[in-house]
Amino acid sequence: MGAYVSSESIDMVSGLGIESPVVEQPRAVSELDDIDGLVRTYRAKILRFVTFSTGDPDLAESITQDTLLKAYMGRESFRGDCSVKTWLTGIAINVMRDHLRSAKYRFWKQAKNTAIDVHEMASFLPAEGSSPERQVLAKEKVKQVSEAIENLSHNQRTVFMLKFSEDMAVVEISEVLGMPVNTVRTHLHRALTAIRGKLGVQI
Amino acid sequence: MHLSEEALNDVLIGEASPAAASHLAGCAACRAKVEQTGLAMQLFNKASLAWSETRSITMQAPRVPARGRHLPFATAAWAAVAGLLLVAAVPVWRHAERPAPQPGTMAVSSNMGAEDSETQIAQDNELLKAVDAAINPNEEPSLHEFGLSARPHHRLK
Repeated sequence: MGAYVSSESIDMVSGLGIESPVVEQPRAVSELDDIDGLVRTYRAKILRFVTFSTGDPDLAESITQDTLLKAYMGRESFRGDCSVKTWLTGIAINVMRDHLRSAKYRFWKQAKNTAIDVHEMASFLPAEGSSPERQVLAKEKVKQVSEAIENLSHNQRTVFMLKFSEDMAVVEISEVLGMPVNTVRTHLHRALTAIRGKLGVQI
Repeated sequence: MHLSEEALNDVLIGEASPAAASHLAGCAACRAKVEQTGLAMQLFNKASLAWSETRSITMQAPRVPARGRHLPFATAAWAAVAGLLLVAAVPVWRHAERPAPQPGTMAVSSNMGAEDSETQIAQDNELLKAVDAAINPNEEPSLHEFGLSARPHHRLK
């Protein structure tokens, strides 16, 4: 399974869209051939991204499973010009769009809309040896950020998560969402302003 | 003069202008704002990942359709050959294993007709006559042929 990345491809993963020759390396096809490995390595991260992007944890589980299944079934189409994580994120975005457009989803939203329990989520913050007072403060910050994200638009949430949780570059986000770079920046600015407002960190 | 809201956001996005970076280096207040926001987002990332990891563990494995699991071509070809051989071998084996017809036994199966002996055919005919006699008692069968006593039919009335 020795497919190789083109030497003319752009390193979109680590850089900021600056063209640079990529050293030819064997593609990590074996990683995609092992669905159990994909689940172990990527499911939690995809689930987090989709949960905060849709704001619906139950729907996010379904989308995450679909994403992994689609990736596994279509693994032959992975060209290796981005990381597996970025490729999976792209699939998750497409699956999410399909779900959000479907009549089934609109019915689902009317019938049952599960929200993220920010209190429960904050309780998962690792203590890491900090004092109880600091833990309380830290959990409060987590809740504030979560609540601020919940109040953002779907696009703002998605862009924010891709930038600050998935650690993707602005150009990379633009490509994976098919959105102009300046629109990505605008969404990021609005999201950050809202979050700083919630945290009380304003000008 | 502190950094504007937009300049602060640019710093957080990682696209600070040289002027903003220079200001940040010398302004503790602006640095604190960036650090506070950055820390809150770090905490959010840690908590949300721990939450999703826990949730992911409780989820089922994705159900992969059988066609999704690729068999190597050679394996599939050998499986097909083995299947064909098996299909061809079963009738031969069944024929070889079938016991020879024993005198006195009745051939019940219709597919054994070709192998019926004259004796078996005769026995079958006798049996059919006996059945006819039982079903149609008014007819006068030659009961004595079958070694049965000629009992009156009043029991059947």
